[in-house]
Amino acid sequence: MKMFYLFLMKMAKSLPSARSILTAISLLLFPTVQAQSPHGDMLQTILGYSDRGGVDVGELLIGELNCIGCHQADEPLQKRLASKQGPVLGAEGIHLTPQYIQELLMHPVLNGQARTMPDMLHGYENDEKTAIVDALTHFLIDAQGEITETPVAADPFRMQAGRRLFHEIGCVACHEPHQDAEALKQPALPSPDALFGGDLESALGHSVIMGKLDGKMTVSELARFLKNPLETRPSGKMPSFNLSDSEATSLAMYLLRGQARGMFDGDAKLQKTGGLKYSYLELGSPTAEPHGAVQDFVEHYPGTPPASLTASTHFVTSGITHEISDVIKKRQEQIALVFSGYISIPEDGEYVFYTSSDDGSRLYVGSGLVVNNDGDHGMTERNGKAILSAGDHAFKVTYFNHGGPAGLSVYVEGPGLDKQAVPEDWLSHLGQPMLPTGSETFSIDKTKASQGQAWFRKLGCASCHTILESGAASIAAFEAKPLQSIGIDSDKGCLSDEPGISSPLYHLTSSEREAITNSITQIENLSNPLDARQQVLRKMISMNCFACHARDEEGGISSGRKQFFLTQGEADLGDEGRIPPNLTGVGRKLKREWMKKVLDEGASVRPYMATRMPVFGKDNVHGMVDLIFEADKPSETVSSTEKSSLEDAKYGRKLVGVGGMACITCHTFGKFSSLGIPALDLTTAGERLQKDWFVRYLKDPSSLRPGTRMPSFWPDGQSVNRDVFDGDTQRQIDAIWSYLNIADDNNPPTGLIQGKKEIIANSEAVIYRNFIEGAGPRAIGVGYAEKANLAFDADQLRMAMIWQGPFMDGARHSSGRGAGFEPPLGHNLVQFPNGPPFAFSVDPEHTQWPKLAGKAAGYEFKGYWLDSKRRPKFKYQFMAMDVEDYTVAVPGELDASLRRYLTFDSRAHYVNLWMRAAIGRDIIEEQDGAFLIDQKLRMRFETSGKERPVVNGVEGNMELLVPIELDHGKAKIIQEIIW
Amino acid sequence: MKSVLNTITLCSMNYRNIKGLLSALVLAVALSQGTEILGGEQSDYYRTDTIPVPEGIVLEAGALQWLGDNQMAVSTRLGEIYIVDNALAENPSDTTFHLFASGLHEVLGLAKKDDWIYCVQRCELTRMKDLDHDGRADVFETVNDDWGITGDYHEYAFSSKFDRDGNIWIVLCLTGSFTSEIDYRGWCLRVTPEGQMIPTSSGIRSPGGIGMNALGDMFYTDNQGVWNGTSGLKHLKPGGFMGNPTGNRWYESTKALGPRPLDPVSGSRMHIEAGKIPELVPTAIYFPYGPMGQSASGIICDQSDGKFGPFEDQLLVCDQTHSTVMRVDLEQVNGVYQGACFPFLKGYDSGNLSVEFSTDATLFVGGTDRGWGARGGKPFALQRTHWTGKTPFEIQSMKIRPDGFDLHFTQPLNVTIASDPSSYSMETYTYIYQSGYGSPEVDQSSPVIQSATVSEDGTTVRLKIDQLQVGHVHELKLSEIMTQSGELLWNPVAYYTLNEIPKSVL
Repeated sequence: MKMFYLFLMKMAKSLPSARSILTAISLLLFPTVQAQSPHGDMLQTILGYSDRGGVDVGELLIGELNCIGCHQADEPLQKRLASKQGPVLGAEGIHLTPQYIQELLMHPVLNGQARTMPDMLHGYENDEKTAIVDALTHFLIDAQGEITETPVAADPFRMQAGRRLFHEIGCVACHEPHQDAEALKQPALPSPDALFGGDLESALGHSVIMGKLDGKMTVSELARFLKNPLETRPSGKMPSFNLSDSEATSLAMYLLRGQARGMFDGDAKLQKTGGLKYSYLELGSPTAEPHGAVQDFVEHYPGTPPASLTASTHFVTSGITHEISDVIKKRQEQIALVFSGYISIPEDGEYVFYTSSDDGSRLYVGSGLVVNNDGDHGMTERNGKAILSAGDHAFKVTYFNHGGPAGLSVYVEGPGLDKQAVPEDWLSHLGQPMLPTGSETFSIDKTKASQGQAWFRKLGCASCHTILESGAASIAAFEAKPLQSIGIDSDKGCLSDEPGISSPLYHLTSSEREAITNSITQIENLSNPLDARQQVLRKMISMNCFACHARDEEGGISSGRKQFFLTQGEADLGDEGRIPPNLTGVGRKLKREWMKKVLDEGASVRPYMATRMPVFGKDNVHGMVDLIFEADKPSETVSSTEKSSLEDAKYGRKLVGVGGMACITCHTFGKFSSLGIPALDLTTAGERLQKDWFVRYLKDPSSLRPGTRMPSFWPDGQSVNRDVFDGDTQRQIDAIWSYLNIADDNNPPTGLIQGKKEIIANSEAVIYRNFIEGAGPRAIGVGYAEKANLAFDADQLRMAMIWQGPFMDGARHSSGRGAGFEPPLGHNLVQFPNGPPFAFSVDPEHTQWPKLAGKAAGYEFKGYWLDSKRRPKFKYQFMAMDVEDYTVAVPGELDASLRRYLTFDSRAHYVNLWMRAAIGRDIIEEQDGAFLIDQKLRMRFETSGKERPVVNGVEGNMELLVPIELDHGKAKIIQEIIW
Repeated sequence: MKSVLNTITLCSMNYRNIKGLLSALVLAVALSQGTEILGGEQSDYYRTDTIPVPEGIVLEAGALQWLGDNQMAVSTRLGEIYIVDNALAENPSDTTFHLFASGLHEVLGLAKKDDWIYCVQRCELTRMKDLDHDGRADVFETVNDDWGITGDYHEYAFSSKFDRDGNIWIVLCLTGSFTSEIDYRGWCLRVTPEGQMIPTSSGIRSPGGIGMNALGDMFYTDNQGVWNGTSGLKHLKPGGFMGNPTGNRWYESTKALGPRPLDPVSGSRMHIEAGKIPELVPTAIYFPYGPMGQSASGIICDQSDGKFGPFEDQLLVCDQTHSTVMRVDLEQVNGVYQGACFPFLKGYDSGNLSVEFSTDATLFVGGTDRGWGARGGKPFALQRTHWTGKTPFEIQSMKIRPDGFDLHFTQPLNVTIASDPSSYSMETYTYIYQSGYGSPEVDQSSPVIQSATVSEDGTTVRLKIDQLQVGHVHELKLSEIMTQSGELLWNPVAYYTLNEIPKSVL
């Protein structure tokens, strides 16, 4: 049932029109790309270094244009030039569309992509040229083999993720950003504006042109390339960012989003496309929502949320999936998933569907509920039968997990079909398939293909492009005069104004030509040895390391691009958290082995930095480490005594920890987070750094990292710590170095391992005012000596929750910066409804409990008064009514209970005033007048008035309401809470 | 202390001109008389002792309030308020602590009125009283809570002492120090004696302290980060915009101020934007990042009437990272505050955050390094500093003049050296005013010191300077200046933030 497509072809006559349509489409979609200067690739970047000492720009250009592809050079020169290879073609290479190949060959100049690729057909008349291009296209498409794959379904959420990757991980260090940085900050849902709009600021510096990608390849082909660019572009100019499969697909989908432009148009032509749509939802704080709210919600989705849902929904993500399971979830609790689309039934018959889930799930086929596995339960499998005709049926699965473990699997069993996961190719939805723009039917003509192969040979294409023909050896390179013996006086050569028919036509600027000419006229210079510093500089220019790194006053991020370098998460690290390190003197900073690891594998120690260190390929950076070490060699030898003693290390540990220099206040230490910001992991220091650098850095950090936030603890060489070694600077730093060389997770410095800090109410009550999960940022926790506890929410003026046993753990808020909400420590936690405590109604049966709470609803917190046992009496106002709210704990045989005294004193006469005491799925009034809520909590009331509390609502959604009957402005309620 | 011999060598190496000979002569004379001839050390002028904190108390001192009766109230980041009894005891170990209140939310401001103690918690301004006289507060009255918190740890609130009208001013850090998610994050509010809240100034990023100068004008410290090239001291002018536009959405919620000011252009300079945005109050003092400090915090005005040395009415400002106390000499030009900062006291045990004078002019300094590292290295500390009675040789004040600066010194100068313009060197720089984090020093210039004229009494020098730079820090180095007896400056450097040049002598 797979949908296949082929790049099939029919070309000659239709070509001009196809091309003009293509151009028109590109213009429409990417006006900014089209409008940019054709001078935007590495050539232009290299020229930017023309006035720098020791850089022969011509030589760099010769390498960039791969002149020695045709003009052979001896091995030393080959190595020195490290020429850029063209992309690998054929089956092993990059898979292009016929329309792209045609466009590129017919119009290499119009297409910025061909900047370094010369025009080999400039000397042919139009008809002949068309025929050659036709033949070459057939050859190349034939060589790369038939592409059969399901078109990828456009997923705007993935595009959004790709947009983030493109602008954050470092792509825009070389390529032009597609959006300005401000627009990227908007966390908006995918929209045409977010994906296609945006004006760019200038001052970016030169960009490496990506060209028009929409017609060039498919999403999966581009994803394959992005995942391992070195495979098809071996020179490493486009490095690998170690993308995961999912990241590569998202990035490819974003870059090719023009293929799905229709998705956002009103008249989108949706097609049946593989996979189901899903929406993943997280609801508020996992423990803040009342029981069942998430379950209600998922059934309502995407309609109006149920009344029981108080938190604003936190909509997380949505997309296309081929698998119906809970793998999409990003947390365990208070989550919901909705899968929808079509199921393609292969033949008429009875089918059994199964869902196995924790908590509930439902499965619908057509309009009918087939499997009802709903409810809050552990992993349970249920099934249902449906008699279905062959063909597509609407299909939907809903799933939620309230708390605890989570899981979802869906199976099907049918005629001649054993029980199995629903096959991937049964699932579809109405969506936008992504196909290269301008795709037409294309069928390979073998005769043309063999002509094309001959042309490929004749034109010397193989000088730059490796191509393996179905297992055969590579086509040999074209041979011209060796580089070392060419004359540049030829008026028909590559560098002349009008190259001859057999010479390639390069579209070079006069300054580029001049630079190359100069280098070739003084070809002997290319044999002069280069010193290490020059070699490093050249390598950094040609690999464009300078796009991210500065070194010796060269390079660094251009002012317009700086805004795209970001810190991940909320690490408060300033520029050090986002700008790749300056490489001045790096040969005296890093150890050889580590630098090799960084260059070969993209090893990184800065998880907070959004930009990634990419991998350029071992061959391409071979020898770089030695060169950097040579270039940065100190003028005098540095004594590198690395001896360390166990004794020293122990003092080092003391200095690194709390009570010493407290380095761990900012620095991560192995698996331990720091007590503040996530600055670089100290346990990596020994592996990475040279001792001499470490010593100099500790003495004066800003001399080696200007602007660093690392303060000196040895200002002017004097230690601020006099306790260890009497303040001897050298011995202290030696000791720290000794320690860091053996430091690991087993031996963290003092202050990192934090135990619980239980806050205990002994003979008196104890108050804990802080961020308490479930009671908000203005929570006031009260722990009673009787071991019952409550949290009062001073924002909404309500009793937010109660629990028994241990009160609170104070460790979170007393260590590090004290970030986050701390949940209650004990057991039997009961949460009371969010929202205002009081409301008016003429008829309690129909009360729609208001949502507006706090100041906006007329409430004011006035503080609290402590009794002799330090128990607080909260005071607050509701409109003209003063409220005193005082709770005591009553010891019980097993658990303590609470007795709450509410006193009302009003300057206005309010009638039909109610207090909401509880909500639940099930509230029962018992014979003695007590109320049992959800089988786990009992409440009893004594009121100053005559009216009784009432239970409101229907099963599954009930409220316990207590009347506040003001008599001469006064009323009292005593609420007993037993649980 | 450096050895005398070293200094002589140093001088004879450096002074190759007449001035050099002269100063060598002065030195020689001084030596022969056995006089002290060096820049002094802190211990000569100020003595710091450490108050031992009883076992079990984590005294991360968020705020201090002198209560009289030999008592200092200390609030902590963990939400307690301790009272240190016998706080001025000769021997610091004779001090005792008792717990006044607990269960409060990170108290970073204390004040006192009648028998109420006021404190600011993250969530509200509270006043407390001990009704039953058992030493512990029983009443916790909410005075005002008209601002929002979301639960982000960066949402700090710092409060001032009572101003001349009985108001308490509160500065609110941004959410996460980058956004303003809820009402008035990034604002200064003041609360009247009646408990009414008045939005007062906008444009705050991440405050570290708040306090008044001798005139009763309110200042706060704001730290390096977005829209702050470096940490600074800013004047909380009512209706003013302090420079960070993140919280300016709340102009919509209040009628207390005018319409929302124009947003500054990122990448500009503050003095340029101040020319376009009338509400923008230029930073009064930049604390150069590194040389002066890295996290400016608590502020106190020296109103000890000379009992804390010769710096009456100047502000003392803490730096948390460097565990120091800096000195600030302000002046107002064309209605805009500016002035000089100088290094002052160093070597405190923890990250200085809070600062307070007792009535006998003892400076109390409280510190914490939790979450933010500090040189001192101790997790928390309470220390007190006394003036020894010996006057250090220092620049007492640095005032702007239409064509330069007046430097007033604490002791008469060696006139020959002080009159030589080459005894001084000046560099200027400013910071990029930008939405990015911090800024390097930029737009450097080296103005020429054309003349140095010493006053008749020998204590003031008029520096005539070509090309003062508006909006710049003017960094002045004067390590050769000495007294008539050859004493060098204790701190031979000053950083003057120039916002306005007066048209005539003030």
